[in-house]
Amino acid sequence: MTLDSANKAPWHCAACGIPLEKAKVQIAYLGSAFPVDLLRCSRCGIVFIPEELALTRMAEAEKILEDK
Amino acid sequence: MEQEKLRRLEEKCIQDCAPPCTAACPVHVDVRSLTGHIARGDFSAALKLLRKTLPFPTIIGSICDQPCRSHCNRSLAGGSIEIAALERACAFTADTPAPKILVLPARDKRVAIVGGGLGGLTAAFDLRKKGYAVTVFEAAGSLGGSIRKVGGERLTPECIEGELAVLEAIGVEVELHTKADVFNLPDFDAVFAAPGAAGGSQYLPVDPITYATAREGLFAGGSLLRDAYSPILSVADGRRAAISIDRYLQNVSLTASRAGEGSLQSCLYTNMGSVKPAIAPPRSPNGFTIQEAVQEADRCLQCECLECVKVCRYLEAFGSYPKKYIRETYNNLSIVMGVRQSNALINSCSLCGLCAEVCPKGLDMGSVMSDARRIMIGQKRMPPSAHDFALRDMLFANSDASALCIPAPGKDSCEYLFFPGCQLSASAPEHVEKTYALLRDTFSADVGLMLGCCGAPADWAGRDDLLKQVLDDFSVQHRRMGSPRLILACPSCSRVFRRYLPEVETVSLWEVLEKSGAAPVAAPAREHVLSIHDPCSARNDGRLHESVRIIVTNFGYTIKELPLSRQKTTCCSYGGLMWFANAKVAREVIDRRIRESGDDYLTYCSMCRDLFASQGKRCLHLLDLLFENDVSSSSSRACPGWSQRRENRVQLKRRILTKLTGEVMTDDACEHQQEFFIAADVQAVLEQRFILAEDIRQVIAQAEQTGRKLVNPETGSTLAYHKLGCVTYWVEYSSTPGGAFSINNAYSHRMEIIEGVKS
Amino acid sequence: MLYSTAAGQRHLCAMTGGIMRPGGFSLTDRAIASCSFPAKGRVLDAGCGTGIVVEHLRSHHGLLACGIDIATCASRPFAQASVYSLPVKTGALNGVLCECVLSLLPDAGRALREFGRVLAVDGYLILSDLYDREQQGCMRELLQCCGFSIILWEDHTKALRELGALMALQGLDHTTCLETKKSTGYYLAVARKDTC
Ligand code: SF4
Ligand code: SF4
Ligand code: SF4
Ligand SMILES: [Zn+2]
Repeated sequence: MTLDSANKAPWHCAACGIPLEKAKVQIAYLGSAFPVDLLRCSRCGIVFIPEELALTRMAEAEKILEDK
Repeated sequence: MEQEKLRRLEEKCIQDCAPPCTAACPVHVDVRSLTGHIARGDFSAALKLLRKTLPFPTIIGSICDQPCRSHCNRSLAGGSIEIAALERACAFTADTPAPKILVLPARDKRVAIVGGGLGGLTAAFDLRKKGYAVTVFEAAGSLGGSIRKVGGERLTPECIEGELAVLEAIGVEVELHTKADVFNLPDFDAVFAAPGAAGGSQYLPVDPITYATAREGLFAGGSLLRDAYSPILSVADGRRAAISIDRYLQNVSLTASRAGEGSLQSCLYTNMGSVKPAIAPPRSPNGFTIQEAVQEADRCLQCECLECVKVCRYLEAFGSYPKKYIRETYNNLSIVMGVRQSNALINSCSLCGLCAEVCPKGLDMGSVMSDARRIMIGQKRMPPSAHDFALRDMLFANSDASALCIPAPGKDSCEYLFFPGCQLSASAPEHVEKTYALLRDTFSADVGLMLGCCGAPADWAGRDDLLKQVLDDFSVQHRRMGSPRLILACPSCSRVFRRYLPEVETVSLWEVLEKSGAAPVAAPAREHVLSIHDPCSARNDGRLHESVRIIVTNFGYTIKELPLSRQKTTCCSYGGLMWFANAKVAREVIDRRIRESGDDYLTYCSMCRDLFASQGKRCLHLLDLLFENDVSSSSSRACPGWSQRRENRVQLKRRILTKLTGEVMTDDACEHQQEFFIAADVQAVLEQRFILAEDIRQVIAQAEQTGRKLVNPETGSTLAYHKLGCVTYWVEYSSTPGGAFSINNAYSHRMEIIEGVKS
Repeated sequence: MLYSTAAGQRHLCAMTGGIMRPGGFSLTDRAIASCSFPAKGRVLDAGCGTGIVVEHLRSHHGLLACGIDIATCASRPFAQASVYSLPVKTGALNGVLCECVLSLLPDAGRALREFGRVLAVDGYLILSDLYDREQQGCMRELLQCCGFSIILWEDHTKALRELGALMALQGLDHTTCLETKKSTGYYLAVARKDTC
């Protein structure tokens, strides 16, 4: 269940000046919440959602939950 | 109750009705499926199907008097299908073992059948299958009665024995050489008197629907009741009697819901317009050979309606037809808890009303889907993604940034108010300016101008709340202008105003231009041929269709009408917000329309023009004829993107204010706004993803103000996200030497990030 | 089993807390709550997979639970048997659970009759499975024909959709494993064995 692209992502938190770390983050839609592994700043909580996740997997999940 | 209404509408669609052949057949053989199987060469499937309705298919196939044939739609184009001959062919050709017939568990009731003709034997067969103990009494030495006489050479005694063997197989008892007295069979719970044409006594009066006699438990029917012998009517008699006897023995109503039995008039409509005549193949003396049967079956039209499905890509794309869709929609709406399944079906219709024009029953799926959307919204079950981009665009068009309402220069109110509509302003803002000037020059000096959206997107989305807001705001402004007459350029605006603000007087820009002589009276003829695409919202506006054609002809063009035009025109896919709810079907809709003719198209709705252009069709807006010198390059003008459309509206308002009122729009925010650049290839991606320059600006502003952003130390680029409405936007950008930003990428999602912010 | 490949099953297993079907333990718990099992009631999980539900029934509900599955697995202490012929005496059980199994069987009626055989009169049958929401009458009728009275019937299609969404998020192909025909739904049912 690892998000390979996320693990390799080069992003650092600009505010805290530290690299993001893998963490379980809840994402929610239309009343259902799901745990996903994302990179996150352990200090301020800002997260990184890769383009691929947003445009394919999240979009698909949104569609399922919307009954489209 | 609206759901009640949906139920009534479902009844309207007649696609489910039996075709004329089946309706006319006294036992309703499914001829259409039968010929379908045979045409595919699947004789076993055909025979299996036949056995569902006919107890003795070989016999019937050989001697049926075919009351169905005279009703066959093929009779109008080469002659009715040879239905019985096909039945016979499949009975003789099919290579299927004798069927195993399912007999229900035994019931302790006994039925006597007096008379072993087709009617009696059918009743015996049906009742035995239901589990009754059945005895057939036949005075002669063999079963079959008249069939042996009418059968001739086609029906040999061996063949008859073979078919009737099934009775023994399922346990019907037969007493030959027995003249039973129907009034004196005390061992039986019910009696069916089925005397053949050969004779028998006259019984009591018989009820024509149930075949019950005045005597308890005695039912009678058969050839005696008719003048001429009809094998298939005998079968139908037997079946009718069997149904009655079964009901009698179960003690339920004999008369309830029997209207569906026997020969009926079909209510199915089949369009014969494009059917090419074809005649039956010659028949070998012994009946159709396999090949001949296949050929004949292929002549069957597979009668059905689907008039609407043929012209509507949306209806076709969901794989079924309105009766089913309405049921599905109804089910979807009546689910109180749990999950829906038909949201896409409900939201993809363009609400264009073409279906109602072609449907023999006038069923309008557009109004069904429009109602359904309103019910969903009332139930708070509309998924937010369906329409929010379009609704935000509408709100933007009516925001201070782009909306405007001014009287004629130098006045406080006006007699006329030009309302070009939000999409014309977005697509061709310079045409709005030129038209406004033209109107004041040639028509009346007293014309004001109002920029904004009529509320059509809210109407399409079923958002009555937003629609009301738009119309209320409009009415306030309209009254402020002295309730002028509206001059409308967009047929969708016309529809909205006529429907929801009938007290507001409106006139179409095209009628005004035609009558005021703003368009040329008669220009020299040109080579150029144009096909006119009438916008679907102008479907019922015959006068408008005329005005447009007069203008186009006056410009010297030759018009070649599309197969579907005027009242039967199609939607460009923008209607009903189909374009946003189902981009895939929308693209197919556009594609289908633009392939209807190789000629350049001309239309008078800017959304139609832009969408056709977006898929490569050369298409003009009627205003191009008035204002463009190089019409050829206008027809290939690209469809402006979503951000560009907004920008066009904003600039239009600015220019008009400056020119007509001398007012210069001050935009303080502008000063502090971060500048950014979007390369063309990135812009193309953003368009596709429905991401506006404005969204990007907000994400960057938020990131730069709060410092909440991600950086890539290797490349120095920045990534930031921000939730606007119900969408989270991600923008990746880099600083340029000039201090501006350049946008590398952007994407969005609707799922919400529940951030566990650590302190 | 909703997912037929081993790798898929592992994913699904992890996603649903090991239970590998929509709703996780919550549906099972919900069903148990509507039965009145005696303390130490004897319950069989027919088609128990890894046996995780059996463990759950023992540890959280105090039931004498055991399981059978058609697939063998050396590390599992459960009997290998077919749901068509359970290695259990007639009338011996207080409850039978059968989750996500019936819809895969060619002859569900036969399995239901077998469940009826091993259940004591008034014993409970707990089912949760995929079904065609357009034909939900079928399953209910079948239960009645096989000698059961339905005491609970609930649609849990939302749980199915959530599982589908979760799988989509993990990049798994949810279409092959959840047969997402539009009308495919998920139900939870509890039925009581009638007195014959
Ligand atoms: S053409 Fe075919 S379906 Fe139509 S009426 Fe004739 S036999 Fe029936
Ligand atoms: S046109 Fe369409 S809606 Fe009307 S009866 Fe035919 S199939 Fe039904
Ligand atoms: S898109 Fe138009 S023709 Fe098609 S169903 Fe909707 S209203 Fe009818
Ligand atoms: Zn941080």
